[in-house]
Amino acid sequence: MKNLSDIEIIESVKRGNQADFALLVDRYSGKAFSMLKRLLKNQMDAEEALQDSFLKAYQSIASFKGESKFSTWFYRIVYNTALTILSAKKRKTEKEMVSIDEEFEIETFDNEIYAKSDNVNKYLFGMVDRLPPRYALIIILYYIDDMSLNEISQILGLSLVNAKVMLHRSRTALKDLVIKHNLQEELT
Amino acid sequence: MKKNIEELINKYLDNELDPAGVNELNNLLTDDEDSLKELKAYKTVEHALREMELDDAPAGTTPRVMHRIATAKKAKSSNWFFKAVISFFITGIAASLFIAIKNYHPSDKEIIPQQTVDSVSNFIGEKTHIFSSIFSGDDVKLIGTVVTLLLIVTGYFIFETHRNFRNKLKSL
Repeated sequence: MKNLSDIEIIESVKRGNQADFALLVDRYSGKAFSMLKRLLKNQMDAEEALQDSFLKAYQSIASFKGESKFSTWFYRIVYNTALTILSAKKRKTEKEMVSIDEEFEIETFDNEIYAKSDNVNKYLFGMVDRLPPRYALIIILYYIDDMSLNEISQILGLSLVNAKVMLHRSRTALKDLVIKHNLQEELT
Repeated sequence: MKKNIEELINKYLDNELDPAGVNELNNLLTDDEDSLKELKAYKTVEHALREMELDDAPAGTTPRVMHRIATAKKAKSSNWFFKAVISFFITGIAASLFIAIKNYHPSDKEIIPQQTVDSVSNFIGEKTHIFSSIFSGDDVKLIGTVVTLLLIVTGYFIFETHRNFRNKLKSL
């Protein structure tokens, strides 16, 4: 049962097997939670948004026609749910999400995170969490979820060019930090 | 120069660099120590990000989500039940009124032909008379029974909904 594809599970849920939706929850809860934590910067909000996202996905599963991958469709719901929570709370983060020209403020946290980290990976993961939400989200989707920039641009409602610019900016900002602390590895 | 090397390395990491670009990058790396340092730093970032792991969703996420789905489904179906009861109620009243009006036959003495200046007041009087006839006849029993029955059913449903809502609040 666990080897079923997303589409097979969705068809089963559409036929009325509500319990099969749990397979999708098991499959995507970790990835969606990682996204939400980076977007909302708050564990409790992320947990609430995670449940809301799955509930919305279940309620609108009839409208999923399989034109895109389920993950793309579902992450779009997750992203919109996070935006709704952010705009409801009128957080500063909301302002940060308006434009791709937003300022990186990661330098502010650099010394603190660098001091706390005992290896380069831990340090860079900490810095990814300090990237502006959409930039961090792009990193998560691209590196952890192995999504293409095309899929990422669909989820975030961006043009492909903007998604690429944001990925490059994030990568370059992290690279600058690596050089600053002289952490670069020898090429193999 | 720095911007150029950054652009070339980013394209290289995205597998978007054409052969001419690869040659250009190679030349830059051979001639310039800083460019090589840039590439090493990018590679370090790339290597770290590829090893990034997912956060685990909080324990019990799946049962909680499934519980919310089941609850939402139940709420939706009781909504339909509520709508059905209300529709039944409205249809019942409309049908009762229709039957009552259809069965109404004014007697000769009830017709007051007036074509004079006070026709307006007679018109109002006639309409009032129709209504009083409807509610004073045998049909009032039918209407009364139907309305009472529907009020009892609706009252019971509202009471049940309220009780369920209170139980749900307590269980939170």
